Amino acid sequence: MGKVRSFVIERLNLLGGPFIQIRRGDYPKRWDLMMFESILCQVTEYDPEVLESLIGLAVEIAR
Amino acid sequence: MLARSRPLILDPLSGHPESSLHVANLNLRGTIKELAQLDGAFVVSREGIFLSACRYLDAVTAEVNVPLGLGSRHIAAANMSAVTKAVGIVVSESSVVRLFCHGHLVGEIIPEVWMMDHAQLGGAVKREQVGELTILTPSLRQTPIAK
Repeated sequence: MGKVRSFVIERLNLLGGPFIQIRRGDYPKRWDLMMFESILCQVTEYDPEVLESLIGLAVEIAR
Repeated sequence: MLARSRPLILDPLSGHPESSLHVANLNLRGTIKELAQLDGAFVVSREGIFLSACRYLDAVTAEVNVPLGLGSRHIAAANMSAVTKAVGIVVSESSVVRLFCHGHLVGEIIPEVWMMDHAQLGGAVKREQVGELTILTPSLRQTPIAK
């Protein structure tokens, strides 16, 4: 099993607020899920399943 | 969205049945990944139907909030999200996925982190700290043995 590095994100933008800097090595438990839930809360006028599916597709394109 | 954009080439998604243009359609996802190599944006309905591909976004407004360092595709998505009710999803050249809503950047996603979450790497994870680097090593999963 390969190792997964956790420092790939250095900044997040939660709920349209100011950028939160996350220093390397700081890895709040389950922060990734928190980020995604925040994004979906921002755009409640759209079906979260559709939006999450589109984000997933964008991630596949990015990779 | 369609009224505020124009095609850059003959639309490759035109003329197909709606059922084959839904984002959940696996065949479509492969097609979209190929078309993403071309210039222009996709327009997707709120139901998740891909309406058009390779479109030039022609909306301009001063009421956008785009951080310095982001280029024209981000500005185009931010503008479009400001003048319509659309959500802009941008794949940057650096592979970061950004979301724009009402002209503002509302989220940044690093693909690796998204994949970590969606690959269900949770559960028992060994954590090692080497200087500033945190290494998470998921436990090997037990494969069910067929009887």
